[in-house]
Amino acid sequence: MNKLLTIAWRNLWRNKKRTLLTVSSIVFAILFAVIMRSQSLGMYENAIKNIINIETGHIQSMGKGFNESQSIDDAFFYVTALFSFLENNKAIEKSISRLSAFGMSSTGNYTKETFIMGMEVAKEGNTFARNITVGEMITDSSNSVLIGEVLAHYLKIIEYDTELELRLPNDSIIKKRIQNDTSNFTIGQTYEDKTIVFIAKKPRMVKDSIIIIGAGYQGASAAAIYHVAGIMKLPLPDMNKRIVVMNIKTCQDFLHAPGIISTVNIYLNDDSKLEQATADLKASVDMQKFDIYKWKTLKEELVQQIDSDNKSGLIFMFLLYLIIGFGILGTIIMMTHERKKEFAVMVALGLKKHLLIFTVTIENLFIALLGSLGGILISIPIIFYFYLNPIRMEEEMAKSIENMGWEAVIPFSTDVSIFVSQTIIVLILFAVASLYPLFKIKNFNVIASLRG
Amino acid sequence: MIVIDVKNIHKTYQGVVPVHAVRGIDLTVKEGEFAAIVGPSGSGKTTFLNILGGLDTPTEGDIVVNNTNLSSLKASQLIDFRLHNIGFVFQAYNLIPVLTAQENVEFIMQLQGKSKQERSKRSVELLNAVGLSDKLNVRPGKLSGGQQQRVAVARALASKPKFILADEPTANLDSDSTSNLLSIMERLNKEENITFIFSTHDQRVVNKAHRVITIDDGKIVSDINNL
Ligand SMILES: Nc1ncnc2c1ncn2[C@@H]1O[C@H](COP(=O)(O)OP(=O)(O)OP(=O)(O)O)[C@@H](O)[C@H]1O
Ligand SMILES: [Mg+2]
Repeated sequence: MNKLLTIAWRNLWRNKKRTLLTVSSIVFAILFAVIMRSQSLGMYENAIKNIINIETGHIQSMGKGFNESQSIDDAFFYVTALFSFLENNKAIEKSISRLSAFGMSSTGNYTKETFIMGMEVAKEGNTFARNITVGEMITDSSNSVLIGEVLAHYLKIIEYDTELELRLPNDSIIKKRIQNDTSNFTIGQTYEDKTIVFIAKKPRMVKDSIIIIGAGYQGASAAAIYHVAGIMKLPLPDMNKRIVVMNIKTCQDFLHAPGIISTVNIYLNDDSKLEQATADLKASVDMQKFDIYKWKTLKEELVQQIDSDNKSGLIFMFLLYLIIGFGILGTIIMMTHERKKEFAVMVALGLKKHLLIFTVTIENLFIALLGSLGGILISIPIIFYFYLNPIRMEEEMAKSIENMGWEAVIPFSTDVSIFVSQTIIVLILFAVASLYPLFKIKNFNVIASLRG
Repeated sequence: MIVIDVKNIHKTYQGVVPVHAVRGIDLTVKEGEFAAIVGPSGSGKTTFLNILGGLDTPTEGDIVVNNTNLSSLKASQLIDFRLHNIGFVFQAYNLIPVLTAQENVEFIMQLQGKSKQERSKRSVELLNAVGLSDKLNVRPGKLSGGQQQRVAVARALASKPKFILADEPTANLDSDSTSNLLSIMERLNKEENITFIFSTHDQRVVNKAHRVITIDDGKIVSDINNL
């Protein structure tokens, strides 16, 4: 047995080039597939996380019919039954009330439809604060607002400056900000005798107030002027075109809807409890008054988008492995044919066929393991690097991704299942390819093979 | 003691034109014989040796080796039978290329389940006997044809077989290597009573044989004592 392993191992290095070629084809396939999958799954995870954090929570509960009408008249009052449930359910990490409505925002000459959102600022934590690009966060007591960056630009609340990073002759980097710049800089070009190494567009606030108009509770008209505290660039591109955020009290005052909230976002401490928590929630509240939705139900388009993107990713991966699989099969067929005579000798001498098959299979397994181990070892640092430093897309790419409603960033997933599944695929390919020598050896004729 | 006893062996290769390669051979070989099988090319020597070695099955007739009728054995039993009873030396040496000389010799004993000590003791002895004590750790690729064939003889002996079959063992060797190999075989035959049956075209090899069996057209045409 021992010797058979030695034989298998040494056989690998008889034709070093071919073994290395086969191993590297697997390394490449795994590397490629892992990166591709990690990036796709990372995108999905990120898109879902963004939607859950900013829009829906894991579960969203709202007044009956509000989801369809989006009318504040269907919004619900503070209801103790719901909240005591939320306090006591162990699966729930936190719940946050919001009040939202549609309206218009304007800065005199420019007007735009707007999604108005009132929220419990302190309870929201970092979700919005970390997306502020200029200005500062609002508070639960101030009645200033945050505006989405695209909307702010449209309303001429911000202008874009160009920020250049320039390399000095002594290799140190300085930043240079050019207001209202319209020139087209490119990286590598010189500016004031220094080389441009980085270019970014930075918003600068040029106005600090905004007029908001809406339909208040039960037909009341709502209009007010607010101080703009800051501009935010949320990872949901659609939101940036229309969102105005204020604290919930200010929003209730604006809409003449004291004490009213329209949605409660419920955040779970574990994604896997989604179904159970939803069911529990539905069972414990008066469903005549409330609607309760999973994020998946509210964001069906996203789920479908992910699903179809995932499918095409899997098809691509299938094709990749099909090609690699034929490569592997080719190698194994060659290895089997070259050594027919050797196999015959071993069987003639007294090696049972099943032991010979064992040897050859082990040999193939070595290749598979070397390849998948190599592929995974190389991909781990790459994946972790990109996990920690997600790729931010620039310009055109960014635009096309944002048009899909996705954040223009490629986050990488480090989910272990990615590595495991790629290894399993390679092992299966080998198992299938190893059937060839298995049948060859089982059926081969010792005499004929000894001759050839 | 009779080690091989065959009666009325026939072998026909089926094909578009069936070839009747062996046409009724009767033969008994006793322990300690040193027998050459000679005959023109295509006369059926290899076919007959393969049948004796249990590598091929006759179309007709029985082979009794060491009191076992080979036709009664299943394929896997036959492999086991070869392992314990028959040694092979091939024309093209056919050593396992990734194993060293010593490992090649030990390989068969390992299949037989012999202990590590026994294996290494016997393999060193055998390689010594064939004059290769300085090549224990060398792989076949780095040995001359003559040296490889001597390793093959050592390998054939390793399993303590009842007899050794060698189909043209010297066909690929120059005359020095041929006489060297032959004197080793003769010595093993004389000193350890090993039974050798080999086919050859080489008259010098024939001259060394104690018994010369001539085959022509699938039949034994003469069987003479050459001592
Ligand atoms: N597998 C086979 N299929 C068909 N015919 C075969 C096969 N093997 C051998 N033969 C035929 O059987 C006959 C005997 O062949 P064999 O190889 O036994 O001769 P040989 O005496 O060993 O010849 P040589 O001295 O050239 O080695 C030949 O006519 C040969 O063509
Ligand atoms: Mg022959």
